[in-house]
This record gives sequence, structure tokens and C-alpha cells, in this order.
Amino acid sequence: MAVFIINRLMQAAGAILVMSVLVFVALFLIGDPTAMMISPQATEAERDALRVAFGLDRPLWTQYASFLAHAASGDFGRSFLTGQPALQLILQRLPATLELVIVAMTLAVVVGVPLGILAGLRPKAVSSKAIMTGSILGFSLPNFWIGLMLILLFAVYLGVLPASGRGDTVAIGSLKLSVLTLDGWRHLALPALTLGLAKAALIIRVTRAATREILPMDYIKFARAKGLAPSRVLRVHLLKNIMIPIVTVTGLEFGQAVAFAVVTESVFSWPGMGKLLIDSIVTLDRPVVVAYLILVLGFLVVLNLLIDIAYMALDPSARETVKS
Amino acid sequence: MSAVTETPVAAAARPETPLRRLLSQFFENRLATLGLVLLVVLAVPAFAAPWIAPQNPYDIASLDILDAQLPPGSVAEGTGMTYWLGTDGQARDVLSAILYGLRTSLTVAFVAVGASLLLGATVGLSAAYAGGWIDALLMRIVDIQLSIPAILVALTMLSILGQGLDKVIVALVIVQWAYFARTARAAALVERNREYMLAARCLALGWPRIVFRHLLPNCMPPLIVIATIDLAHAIALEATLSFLGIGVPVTQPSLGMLIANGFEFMMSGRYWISFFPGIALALAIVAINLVATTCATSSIRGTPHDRRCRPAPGCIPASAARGRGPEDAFRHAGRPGEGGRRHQLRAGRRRDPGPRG
Amino acid sequence: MGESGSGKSITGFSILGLVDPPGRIVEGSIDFEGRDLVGMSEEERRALRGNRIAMIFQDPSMTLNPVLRIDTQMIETVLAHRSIPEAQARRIARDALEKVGIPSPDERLKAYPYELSGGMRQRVAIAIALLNQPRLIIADEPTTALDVSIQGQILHEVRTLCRQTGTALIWITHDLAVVAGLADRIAVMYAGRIVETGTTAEIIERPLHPYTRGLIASVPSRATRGHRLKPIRGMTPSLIHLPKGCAFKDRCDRTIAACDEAPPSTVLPGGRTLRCWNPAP
Repeated sequence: MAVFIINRLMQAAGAILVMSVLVFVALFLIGDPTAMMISPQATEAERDALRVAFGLDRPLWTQYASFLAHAASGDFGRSFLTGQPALQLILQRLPATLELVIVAMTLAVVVGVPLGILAGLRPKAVSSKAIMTGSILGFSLPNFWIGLMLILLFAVYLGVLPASGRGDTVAIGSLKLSVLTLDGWRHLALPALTLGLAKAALIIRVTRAATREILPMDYIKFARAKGLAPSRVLRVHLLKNIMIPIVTVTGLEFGQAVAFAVVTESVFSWPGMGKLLIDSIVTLDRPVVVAYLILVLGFLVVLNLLIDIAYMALDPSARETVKS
Repeated sequence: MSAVTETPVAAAARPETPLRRLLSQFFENRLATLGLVLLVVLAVPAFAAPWIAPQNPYDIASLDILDAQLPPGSVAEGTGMTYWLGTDGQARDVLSAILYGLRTSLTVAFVAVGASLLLGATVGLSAAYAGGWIDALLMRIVDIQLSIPAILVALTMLSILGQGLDKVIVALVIVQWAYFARTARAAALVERNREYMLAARCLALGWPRIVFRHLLPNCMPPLIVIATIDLAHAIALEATLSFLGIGVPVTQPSLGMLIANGFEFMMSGRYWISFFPGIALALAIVAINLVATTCATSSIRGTPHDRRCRPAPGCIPASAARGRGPEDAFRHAGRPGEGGRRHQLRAGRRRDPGPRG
Repeated sequence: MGESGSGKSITGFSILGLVDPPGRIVEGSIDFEGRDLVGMSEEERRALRGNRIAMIFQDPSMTLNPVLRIDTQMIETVLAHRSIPEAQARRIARDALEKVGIPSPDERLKAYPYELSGGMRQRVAIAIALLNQPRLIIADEPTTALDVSIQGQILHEVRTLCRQTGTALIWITHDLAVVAGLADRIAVMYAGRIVETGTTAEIIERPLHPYTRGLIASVPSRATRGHRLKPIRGMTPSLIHLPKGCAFKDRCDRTIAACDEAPPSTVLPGGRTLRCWNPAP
């Protein structure tokens, strides 16, 4: 088990390294960031001075080498815009994003799994067909569109929920959380619903497919032949089996949700790291973009590892395969 | 017995190509036909926009700033023209803007999907045909790319390339080619061992000819399914990028940008500037999805050709990696980037009566 | 007994009330210990299942839930029908495993199904069937998926256990050899109907229905050495497009005019039943 994890971590480190090179080289090709920081009237000499100050005059590979050396110690450089360390900027925004994503995913699972099972148990019922049609809409319509419609309905037409910002937060140490205040929840509701609905649509489909696959299995019939109560057949025999794909997909979708929070945060002006990324792309704030991408990729790699471990915890025969 | 003797006659009268089978099954389905009709109803006026739109919304001279932000149904002071869907902040007729915007959106999506199909199919077929380390290397690249969320790939690309219609297309191609490559490879691996391929090789045909004239046509049905799905995806992704302000340029606004432009007015109740482009976008996506879903299901129904749509073990359908068809994610593979390891594990558990004695 | 698709398994499932939709019991009655199972509520039937009537399935690799340990799957069966402490249920489970000849039952209880061989899994399934001392066990071709050597062992053990406890056994099979060695009475099924019943000796030595005769004649034996085997001609009819009248008439060599009408089930002296207009002499 430990060997497996170490092995995977090494693979992951390799992947991140390769990607950091790609991102770095690619971003190097973007226009001159000094243009953004200095007044258009500045002389060429002033511009050169700035480039030297930021080390932009050196060859690409030395820039990368120094970037890598610093990155290893958690230093991704300073934002061209604010002068703050890029990592610090991102980490400041991290709690807001995680808060949003966790609430959204919880919503998605709480809504998606029961509806999916329902649709899987009675595939021909009208309610099931309605659920499935809704889920097609849920995952095919763009995220920002759903957000827009929710804003239109709840913020503009009904006027019951705010459409932007994070609301009151409670600080625990340096961690600021919205979920601890009522106002925070009101602000969280629409973005979380936007992000959560799309993910719920996917979870519904996975759950339904899994239910439909497991239900005709002999061991479900055998469980009924043993005289178990229907609720136990459902809760233990069915659920334990469909949990395997559900957990896998939920984990993957968690990663996707972090990425897609970029869009949701922009729609709702949610001050998370996704909004920071968009702002940084627009302002060509290279260190922040690079730091964001590497952090998120690293996060995805770790997430994949966690999903693998969860998978082994759920599927006993998978453990055997890893051991041998 | 009589039924048995009749069937081959009927089959001989009309040879069934994979494509024709797909089409005939397609039109049996009413929802799919509806989707197709809807798509035509949207696409025809969009592409004819320069000739039929009430106004050229990007001809500054034709705009009267006094007509800005008029609600739907208003009549223009000067020209007497009716703004059926209202006007936006720059006094543009929303209906005209939608037609032009839809045109941009559809063009970008069609070109991007076409190019991805071409690139992906070439890479996938080459990988399958070449095998060995070339195959391994190409599929490794596909794996890595599929493990990164599409939106991040697109954002990174655009942050490198900058704004522009062509750049959005390039970004979409880079997001999507991998799905086609993987699907094409899976289909080709099945086809590779069929007799007609053997015959082609025995004739000592050159590899480009074998790959493109013999292999590709037989791998088309799954690729077409992926293409229809990806068309909807491309439209949605382009709209998202443009909405975020890093997609198409202001001079050629797509639906996404129109929605973004109207966003600031929405809070003050002038919903129409965003709402109607939003409806157009949703209709386009839903229409394509109706078509795509039917394509996907009818080609998975148990005909011999269909098995091709199901990727070989170790291969994940595009939809699984992207999470668009999670049923497939469950059925075929555990998760993207991992190949079919899960799939094999699970299959092993179900089918193998038991390894230990 | 009967060939594939003749309705053997569905009959077994009907007794338990486990016919999957769209299938359902249209008419008739199933008498068990003086009660009609068809008219019972689902809850009453559930109380019987796994308790008074147990079932063993065909494919042992599919009957046990792959993600649950053996002990979970056994104990839940006991607790579904008796309110006893879990520790006691575990002892019952352990004893049942021992009874069906599983070595080191305590370890096996903690195992997952994938850790056991096919024969072992079928023994576990049998142990589960025995847990609540049922009056009737329905075994649906429980040895078909196993190696021949293990088939014999399982067959022997099930028979011995049923003899010891006085449990009735319905053994569903297509294998005449198994039936001959195991059963007291035989019911032959064809195209969804029981066409003939009788004691094993009666059926084997003096089959009346042409189908039964055909079945027995198509089995190689010492007496048929040097002769051609006589297969039954034709194919099993599709159950959706059954011929009018007797379902066997197209393959039968004793067809008469009356066969265009479905033959009723008639009770012969000695308790044999038969569904044929023109039985073998």
C-alpha cells in the first residue's frame, strides 16, 4: 500500500514538473508584461530597467531554473500587479473557493444520489423520465447560463437572494468562512446552487446507470431470496455496490468543480481563486497564472490519489489487485 | 422458416453501411428529429443574418444612441423599425445581434469540431496503425490532457494566445482533439484485425491509403457521435470563454459576449439584453444534444457495428473523461487518465468465477 | 427437469414470489404447508423466504455480494427472521459453514467472496440456505457452474444434509444423470409447463410423455452402445410464439388430431400426472 502511494506520488511529481515547463514556456510567449505596469509615456530605458528588475531580460531557461528553485520552497514569485507573493495571493482566496465547491458538491450528492436511485429503480416512470431530462439540461447547459437564470429568478425577479459577493464572514484564525453566518449562506446559495446543479446532473446519471447495472445482479435477487427487508436490500446490498462508481465520479467531479469555479466565481463575483485567475489572465499577471495552474494541477493529482485509495477501501477485490 | 430466407434478400437489395444504419435509426426517433428541426430553424437564419437581420448591429452608423436599452416591442424613433427583442446598451437591435452572434458561435463550433475531428482521427488512427512506442507515447499525451479539466486547458491556451476568433478555435481544437484521438484509436484497434484490413495490407497499399481510405471510413460512426456531442460542448465552452471576456473579440461578438454585455443591465431589470441571447444559446445546445443523445444510443444498440462505439478495454470514451456521459464512465472505465484499469478490475470481479481454489 | 428455457427457474422464483417485472403470476396456486403462497401479502412471503423456503442459485460467482464479507451476508439472513443477539447469529453462521464442509469457518467468515473459489462460494450459498432450517430448499442448477469433481461433492453433501434435517428439496436441473441419482420424484417441464410427473423409477423406466421418452432416449448409456443416439428433432419453440395446442406437437412423432387442442393435466393412478393426448404405451 505504501509502495503504491509513493509510486503514485512520484508519477504525480513528474507530471507536475512536465506541466510546469509547458505552462512556463507557453506563458513566456505572451506579450510583454511590463507594458501593463508602466505608463505608456515611459521611455525605453525605463522599460528596460523594469525588465531587469523582474529578471525578464534573462534567457528563458535561467528564468525557469530560478522559478523552479523558488517554487520548490513555495515561492512562485510576486504578482506583477500588487507585488504580493503569488502563492500568498492564491492561498488567501483558497478558502472561499473550497467553501463554494464543498457546499456545491455536498448539494450535488445529497440531491443526485437519491434521485439517481429513484430513476434507476423505476426507469419507465414519468418521474424518472423527468429526472433524466432535467439532468440532460443540467449538464449540457453552460454553467454561467444556469447562474444567470438563477440570478434573474432569485435576485432580480424575486429579489430574495444577493447576486454577488461573499457576505459576512467569520474569521477562525486566518481562515474566513461564510458558512458560519446567515448572510454568508444567503450569498453562498446561488453560486453553490449553480455549481451544484450541474454536478448533481452528472451524479444522477452515474447513480442511475449503476443502479440499473447492479439491480438485475443475482446477488440482489439472492438477498431478496434470503428474506431481507426491502430497505436492507436497498441500503446495504445495492448502495454499497453503487457507491464505488459514485465515489469515483464524485471525486473526479470535485476536481472539475474546482476548475469550473472559475466561471461560477466570475458570474457571482465570488472572491475565490478562480476569479483571481481570470483577473490575472486579463492583466497578464504571469506569476499568479503559473502559480494557480501548478497549484490546481497538484491538487488534481492528489485528488486522483485519494480517489484511488477510496476506491480500494470500497471495492475489496481491488485491494487484492494492488497487493499482487 | 420463411422469415429467415427473406432477410438476406432484403439486405442484399439495400447494402447497409454503418452510416446508413445510424441515419435510419436516427429518424425513427421523434425527439432527435425535433432536435434536428430546431437546429435548422436556428442555423439557417443565423447564417443568413447579413441578409435577413433587421439591422447590422456592428454598423455604427445605423445605431441611434437614443434607442439604447429599449424594452422588447419598442419602435425606433427615426426609422420606425420595431425592436422585437428590445435593444442593448449601445442601441443595437437584440434580435439582429442574436442572429449575428449565433452565426459566430456556430461557425466557431463547427470549424473547431471539424478541425479536432481531423486532427484527432489522424493521431488516433496513426497510433492504432503504428502501435508500439508511437502508440504508447501518443496515448500518454492524450491521457495527460484528458486528466486536466477542459476549462483550464482552454483558459491556459487563451492566456497564451490572446483574444481572437481564430485563437478561440485553436483553443477548442486543443481541448477536443484528444477525445477524437482516443475514440478513433479504439475503433481502429477493433477494425485493424478485420479481414478487409488484412486484404488491404496484402495488396501492399501504402499506409496513408490504408489508414484513410480503408480504416477511417469504417471508424466513422463513433467519431460522428463524438462530433455531435462535442459540437454542443464547443458552443458551450466558446460561450463561457466569451462570457469571461477572453474569447471572441468585441468586433465579432458571439452569444456568450452578448450575454456578458447585458449582464450589467440585468440587476436593474433590463433583462432582455442578456436573456434572449441566453435563450438562443440554450436552444442551440439543447437541439444539438437531442441529436447527439440519439446518435449515441442508436449506435450503441446491439448491432455488430456498434461495438465500435464502445471503446476497447483500456480506452475511455470522450464523454467519460469529460463527465458528459457518466454512464459510460461507469461502464467502461474507472476514470480518465487511468486507462481502463478500473474497468478491468470490475470486469474481473464480475465475470471471473474465482481465482483462488 | 427440462431443457434450457423450459421454465424451470421461473417456477422456482414463482414459489419464492421473486418473479421480476414484467413477469407476474397470472393464475393458479402454490400450496406450502397448507397455505397458498400466491394470495399472500409481500410481507408474509418475505417472512417465509430464506426462513421456511430457501433457494440456492445457479452461479456461485454471482450470488454473493462482492462488497460484503461472508459474515455480514450470513448474519443478516439469520437476523432477518429471528430476534437474537448478533453474537448468537454469528455462531449459527459459523456452525452452518462447518456443516457444509468448509475448513476453518472462523477465517472464512471474515473473507470477501472474491477470496473464495467457486465451489467454496457455492458451499457458502448452501450454508446460507440452511441457516434458518428451512422446510424446503429450491436449488436452481447449483452445480452447473462448477467443476465435475466438485459437482459430485456438493450433490452428495446437499442430499445428506437434507436427509438429516428432513428438508424437502426441489432440484432444478437439465441433467438426467443428476436427477436419477438424487430425486424421489421427477417433474418434467417443456415450454413452460409440467408435462409429466412421477417417481424417479416410473419416469426413468416407463416414461409416458413423448418428450420424456425422447429425453431419455437421447442419453447415451451402456444399452445404447453401438447404436446411434436419437436426438429429439427440431428446436425448442420460442415461448412468445408457441404453436397452438400442444407445445410439443411439431417435434412429436405421436401427433394425432387432438394435439391441436392443449392437453389438460390428467392424474393417473398412483399419483402420476401427465399432459398428453396420445402417451407412449
